[in-house]
Amino acid sequence: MKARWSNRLSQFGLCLFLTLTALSGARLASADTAVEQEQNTAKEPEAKRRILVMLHLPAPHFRPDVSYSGGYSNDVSRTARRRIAEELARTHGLKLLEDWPMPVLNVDCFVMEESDALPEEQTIASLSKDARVAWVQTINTFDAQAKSDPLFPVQPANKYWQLDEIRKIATGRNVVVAIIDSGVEIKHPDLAGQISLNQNFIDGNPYVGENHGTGVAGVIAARAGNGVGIEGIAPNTHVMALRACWQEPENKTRCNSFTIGKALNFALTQGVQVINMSLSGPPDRLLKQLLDAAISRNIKIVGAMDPNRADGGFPASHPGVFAVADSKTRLLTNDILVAPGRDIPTTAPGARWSFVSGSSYSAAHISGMMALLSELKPSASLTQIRADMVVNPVNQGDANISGQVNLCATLSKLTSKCACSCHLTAASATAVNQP
Amino acid sequence: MLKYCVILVISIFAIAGKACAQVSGSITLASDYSYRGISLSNEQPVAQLNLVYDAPDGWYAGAFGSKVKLTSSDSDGEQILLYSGFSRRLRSGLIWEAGATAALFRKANDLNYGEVFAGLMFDNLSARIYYSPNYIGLNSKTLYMEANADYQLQEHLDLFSHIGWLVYPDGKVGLVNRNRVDLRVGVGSNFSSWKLQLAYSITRPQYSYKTGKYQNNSRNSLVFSASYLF
Repeated sequence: MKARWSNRLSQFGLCLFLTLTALSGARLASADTAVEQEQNTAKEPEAKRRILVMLHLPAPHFRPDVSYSGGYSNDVSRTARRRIAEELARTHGLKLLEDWPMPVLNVDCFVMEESDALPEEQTIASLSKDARVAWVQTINTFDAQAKSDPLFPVQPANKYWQLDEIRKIATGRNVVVAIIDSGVEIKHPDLAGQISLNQNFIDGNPYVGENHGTGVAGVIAARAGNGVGIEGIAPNTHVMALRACWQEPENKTRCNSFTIGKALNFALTQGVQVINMSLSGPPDRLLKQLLDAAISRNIKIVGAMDPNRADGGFPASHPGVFAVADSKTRLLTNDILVAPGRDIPTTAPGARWSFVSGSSYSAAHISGMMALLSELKPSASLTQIRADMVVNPVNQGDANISGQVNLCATLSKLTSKCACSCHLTAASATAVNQP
Repeated sequence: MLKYCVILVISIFAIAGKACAQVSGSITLASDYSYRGISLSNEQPVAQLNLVYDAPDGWYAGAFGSKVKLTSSDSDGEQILLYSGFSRRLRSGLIWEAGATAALFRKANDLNYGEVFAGLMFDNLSARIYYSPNYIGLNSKTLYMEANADYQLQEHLDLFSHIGWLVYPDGKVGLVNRNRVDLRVGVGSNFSSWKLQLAYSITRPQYSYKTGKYQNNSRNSLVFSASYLF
């Protein structure tokens, strides 16, 4: 008798649970259908008039009320932050759109849409004064650093980096490289089996293989010895394809602070060794903090230089990021790396291959190199890698050699393992940080 | 005692105005108050309230209240659990925490007890160890070790599990209560501000020592709870 009420409540709970679960499944099924319908009319994410509002995200801890083991998917305090965000949106005339917890930075990132009534600066200033807010920022736009110049005949980068010799000592085995970019064509014949995980961070825009992401992935990790296409710099590396950018008309590739932030936050929780960011834009507070968190974990971040920005653009300009350009110019400081980035054959959507140019692909070469270094000397610090980087002398006749990173000599200097004609190579090259 | 609890709750809201500080909480209706494998509600439904204050530097404090029904009817009443601690995330993603709790029984002061605890969390796993110099009025030192795990099945549906082991490090057969292992496996679901949980609890005494005052009948049970989160 004494347990009758308890039993009835448990039975009621079981019925309620099953009903809600069934409803949830039905809703997911209908969501899938909606996604399928959207695939043909994938709209580009709109970053205008939207801001990011960061609220403090406490570390999980003991709570006696509900069963909780610390997983953020089961975070019961999220409701409280959602309530605060709704209040903030109401008070400041904003529309709350979505949120994404970023435990690496101890913040919960809320996306809010501004009204046209107030200037953006005024809204941000007003929100920044609110004691409940950690910080507020605009959503910046980032562009992939690919050129649309006509393609020229093949000049294999393998020739200059002596990849055949390098393969004898390193292929990127047991290394994970995260590529934050547009979608990678997972089933491409030269990439099949190379992508260990793919994740889409763009809402309302389903995952598809796109030009830029597929090209960058090919340079880093295309299959070797499969009889077709090209070979990646590190063909045995595991690629994590994180889609934070989307392809626009005229072959432009765009991303924004929120999508890149979500992808970076994800990469940091997955134990990657290298992150390739072949994109560039203005300085961004959220991304700076995530990059600092990555650098403090000794993750090698590679960023593509934007030749149209005085400082090379962000994230290449961020301290600790390996900034990469596709050619040596007088404007470049000594700590900027130069790697092959012109007329590079690589993978393209539709099981095709094409020639591409731009610092995006130079960055991809350096990311591949970082994968090789990570295999050979996983304990090497970022400072040590930078100090041991060796470059060819400038003003040589061949632009593919002049001032470029010398992979063979760098590997030899950092790991003391000689794969190529090390004596000659090292003698003709200089450390990157020497004037 | 209730007066002090009210003061604490008001204080929690007062200090919540500080930069980036947050107050969160829940109101729960549960079919049974199953606590470390023992029913503290005599297997009857209870209402519970929890409030937590989180400071931006990692400190937290909270108060949890629940109706309780113990073996002797004169002990029925409310339990207030006050808790405070510090938790911090390391660069590796590992989270550590340490804290203390004070459990107060309004109509059975002899059951009041305090505990200190330390724990580690990583991703969806957590483990804690609790030490009490006088657990729930038994005049015995206790250690309670627990491990928890959850796994997201769908966007709004997760599977959770718990195992706990209560031991009496200085206990002697015939003088102390039972060492106990408790297990819980269940599913939880979040809908808007609501959290529903359905769990099956299993309790296994390890040694046949005599039971204590607070020990209600323990048996395997199905427990449902609905929480409104705020």
